[in-house]
Amino acid sequence: MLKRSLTLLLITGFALVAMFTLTSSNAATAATAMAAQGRTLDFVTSFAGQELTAFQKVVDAFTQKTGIKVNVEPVSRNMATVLGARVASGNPPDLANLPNPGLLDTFAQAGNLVSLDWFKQTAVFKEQPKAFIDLGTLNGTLYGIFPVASLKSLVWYDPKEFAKFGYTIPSTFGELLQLQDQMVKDGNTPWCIGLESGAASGWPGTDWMEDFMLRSAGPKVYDQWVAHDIPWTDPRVREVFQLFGLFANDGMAFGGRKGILSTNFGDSVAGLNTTPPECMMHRQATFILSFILKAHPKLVAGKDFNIFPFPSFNSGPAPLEGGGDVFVAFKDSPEMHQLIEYFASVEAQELWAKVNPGRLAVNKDVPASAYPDPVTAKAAKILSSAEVFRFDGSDLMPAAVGSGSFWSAVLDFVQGSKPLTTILCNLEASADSAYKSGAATGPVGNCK
Amino acid sequence: MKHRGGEQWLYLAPALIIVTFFLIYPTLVTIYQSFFSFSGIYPKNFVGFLNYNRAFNDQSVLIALRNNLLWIVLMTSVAVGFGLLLAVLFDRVRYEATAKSVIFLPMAISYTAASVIWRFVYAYRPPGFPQIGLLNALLVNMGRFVAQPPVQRPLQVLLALLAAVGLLLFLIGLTRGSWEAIRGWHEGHRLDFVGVSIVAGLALLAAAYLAQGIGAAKPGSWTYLFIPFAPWQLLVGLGGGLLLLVALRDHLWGPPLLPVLLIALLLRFILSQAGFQPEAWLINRPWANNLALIVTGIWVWTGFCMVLLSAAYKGIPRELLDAARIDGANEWQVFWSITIPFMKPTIAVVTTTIIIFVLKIFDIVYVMTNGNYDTEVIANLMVKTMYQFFDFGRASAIAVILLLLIIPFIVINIRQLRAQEAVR
Amino acid sequence: MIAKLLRTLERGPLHLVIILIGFLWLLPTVGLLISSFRPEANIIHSGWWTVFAHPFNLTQYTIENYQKVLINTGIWRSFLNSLKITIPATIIPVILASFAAYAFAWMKFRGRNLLFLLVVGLIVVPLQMTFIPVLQIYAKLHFSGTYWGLWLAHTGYGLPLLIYMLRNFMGGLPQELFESAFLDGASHFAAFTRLVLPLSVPAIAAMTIFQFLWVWNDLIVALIYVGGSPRVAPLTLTISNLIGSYGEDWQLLTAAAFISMIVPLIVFLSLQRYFVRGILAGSIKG
Repeated sequence: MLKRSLTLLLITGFALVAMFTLTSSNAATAATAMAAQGRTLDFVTSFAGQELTAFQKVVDAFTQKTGIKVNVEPVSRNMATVLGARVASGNPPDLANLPNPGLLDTFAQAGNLVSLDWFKQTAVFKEQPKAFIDLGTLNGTLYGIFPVASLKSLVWYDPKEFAKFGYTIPSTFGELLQLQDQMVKDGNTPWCIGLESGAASGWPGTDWMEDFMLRSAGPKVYDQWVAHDIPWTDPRVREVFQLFGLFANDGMAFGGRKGILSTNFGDSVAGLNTTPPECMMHRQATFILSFILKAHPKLVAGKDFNIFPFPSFNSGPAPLEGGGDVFVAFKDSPEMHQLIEYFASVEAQELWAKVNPGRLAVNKDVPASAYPDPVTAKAAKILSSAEVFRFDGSDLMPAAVGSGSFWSAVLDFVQGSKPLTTILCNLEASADSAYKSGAATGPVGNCK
Repeated sequence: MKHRGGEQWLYLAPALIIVTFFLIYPTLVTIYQSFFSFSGIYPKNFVGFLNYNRAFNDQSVLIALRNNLLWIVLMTSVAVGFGLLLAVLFDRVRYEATAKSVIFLPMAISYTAASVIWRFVYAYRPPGFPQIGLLNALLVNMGRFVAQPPVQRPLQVLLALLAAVGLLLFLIGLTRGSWEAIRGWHEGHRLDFVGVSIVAGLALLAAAYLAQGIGAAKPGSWTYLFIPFAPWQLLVGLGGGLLLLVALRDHLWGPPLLPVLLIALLLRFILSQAGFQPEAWLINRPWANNLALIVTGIWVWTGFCMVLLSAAYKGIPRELLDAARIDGANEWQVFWSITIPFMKPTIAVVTTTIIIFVLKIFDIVYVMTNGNYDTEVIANLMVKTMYQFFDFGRASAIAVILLLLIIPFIVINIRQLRAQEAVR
Repeated sequence: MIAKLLRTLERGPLHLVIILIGFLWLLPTVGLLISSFRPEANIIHSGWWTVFAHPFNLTQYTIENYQKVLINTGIWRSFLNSLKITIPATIIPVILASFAAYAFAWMKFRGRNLLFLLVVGLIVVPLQMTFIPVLQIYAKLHFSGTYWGLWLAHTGYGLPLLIYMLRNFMGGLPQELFESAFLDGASHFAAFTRLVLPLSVPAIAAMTIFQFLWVWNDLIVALIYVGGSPRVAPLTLTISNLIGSYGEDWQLLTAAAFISMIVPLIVFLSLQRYFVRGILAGSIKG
């Protein structure tokens, strides 16, 4: 009896295996064969959720227009592993979106990327801002383009609450400090800050500090800092941490330091519009808009929440920090050329801005009307009138620092478990081994 | 036993070929790579042991090793011990299958889902705000209950007494166990694993008291697990403990009382640290967050241990157990002198397997904290170094270190196998 | 009479303890289940147990999480893909491991112990370390993106543990069984198929379950060897893609976790009786 059921199980098993073999491997091998012919492009992406749906729409529009099929492979958080494994084993995708330009440097230097210099001869090239073209260039060769970007130096607030308490938008850093002191006097908590983000916890803090560096030391020092030409133990870097400490402490932020560390960054913005509001201001990039609407679905952009740029130290337009995904190509083909051109065009980016709230089009010719809400349009205007613009520093650094020790340093600093000197020393040690170039020479002595 | 010529290779070939291709070959490649420095993803220069040197001088590697040790000790002992206990308990009830399914359920859940689940348990909101995490909500509500005057003082006293009793029973048990282990060793029996751990436990306790005694222990350190008791509490504890030992020694419920009392000890420690304020369980280092992650691991893996141990438990011939019971042995003696020896091979196998899994533990830590706040483990560090930082040389070195860590357990396995062979 | 009363009293605490343990064990999962029926805004602001304050207030429940997961996400196709991936990736290794385990347990040959220990040691090899070397060979053999490549990979990763456990089980079978069989002139194959396999059903069932679970819940191996295209993506990948790049919509995971739990639970519940029963009861006499 038992033997018979075992045999039956075995036979069923083999039958299933045979069935699957005959039906499935054909489909899979056919796909790889087609890709080799170049008629279907393979795009590995880290987009997920709503962003993925939006991206798929943009890609579908491309297929409708040109007839070229694009196979979008979403790998979400596993981008680094999948891309690294595929490239290293000689089977890269046609294109991918890299979450930070630092990875572009790594792959370009290893010779894995296809040059996009032909793009400079196209008509759509003139519509691209120089700052973003430079970011995608390494040693004079263009390797990647930025279709959409996010603006990070923004403060979100509830206009109704500001009107209620008579707060005005600060135009200098000094006014901002006065404003938050006033808020404390009025019994309000000035800031909602959330640093928790699972494996990526700490990254919002790096955005704060990059803004500070741009303002306190200026864009030239910012570039030196990112390139590791100045060490992390430099007093200017130290000042940036201390500036962050003016905001991320028990008195100025909702929940104090413990709250900062354990609140998810996406959840923290909800405190702006609770009744009563948990805080008055929240510093975050444009994408946080969808999070606000998730937490409070009935809010109206512009009326219930709005933005102002994080002020500069002296009056005048503030330097801006932003981010974005860079699209690169690993294999050359005429279809790839068409796709890249399409992504950079007004048409694609208008559609993109429409279906993906919170994303700003990089192409200079995209009108403000393309954006579905006034807040994003305002952010686009702020971005386009920027005099000084820098890419998110931690995205430019080698991953070991920018997505590793810098994040941990933020957490350690806010928690207060280690003295700042130790934190900076550890950071410098990590940078010393991670950077392949840069004038800084590593920590002096042992970090204690 | 028949000794055929080459027949065994027919049986072994398919498995061996596949395993060589997927596991042995990449391991050799990794070992080779660990001696190189990399440019991007291609090996560049031969650097000898530089990667290993860097690894051992790296703070994060040392922390990861420390955490792995903690995981091994705690998760193995609790998952296997608890799994064994459950296997024995569930055998006695009619709804065994349902009970087993409940315990096993966490294994059916992917690690991502388990992390989401425990995220709800460990979530933190600042004091004064409604808690959304189960653990903190319990803490805060307990705090409100205990803060009421009629409850507070008696509860403190009761908890202190229970904890003292528990501590002293634990001490007595450890002493007795150590004495027997040492005596056995003196008589020529090898010091087995249980004996070693008992002696180690006693040494640990002594060290804790010594550290506190000479003032070397900082508040919040592990030594405070054995918080000094008021002298009268100690006396009551000693008396109560001895009474319990005598009264319940032959009773089924005697020995299980000990874990309950130990829990009282643990509770007292936790409460003295945290009070009834909500805690950020995944952030506080070095105990809370590591323990929180380990508890998640235990929750997932106890089902695995229980299932295997239960199968072995059911293999014990009923006649043996019944005969012993008829001879007047109580349940506990039956458990220790018949059940456990009979199941030793399976216990050893399960323990080894869990230890190996714990060395590899990655998903839980990655999804919940990604190694932040000093929760890093070796496997997560390796993956981070390899794919996030693209430092293949260093990652390979870390992987090789991980492989070397398993050698002691393989050595133990050799001994076990040879012992088994000798019996056959 | 008193004895009976005492016995019930003694049984009482046993049931109590078991039920308490079961309750505590289930509590986190129950929390997830309840959360999956709550709107996102509620999940962020209050604990799941607050639904019990007004359990019949239906406005605090919603099925939108399930709706979002089940509709328009290609989840049915990935469900089928998961089955396609998991079933062969379970059957093949278990079969191969059974043969190998028998050889390690009952066939004497030189170097047997050493070879076995090599296999045991391989359990600890971290998966991520193997991707690039294997993929490089796959690329040459045009194996990338095929299901066979994935099945073999899962087989490779699962074999060490399966062989280890099965061998220990088979090695524990009483020697007398084999002696009598071999005395009667049976070959190894006969002993394997007629004696060992039937007796090993509980162990094989247990190992089948574990391998099934591991492959079903796997994400990264499928991603690496077969890619992430929706056409071939397993359930785990589709679910993972529900969550936005910044972690938006993570509450969908609550519903998704339960949906993906169904199949492993069915497998476990249907196979668990094979090892709940006693193994060797009566075999020595019979």
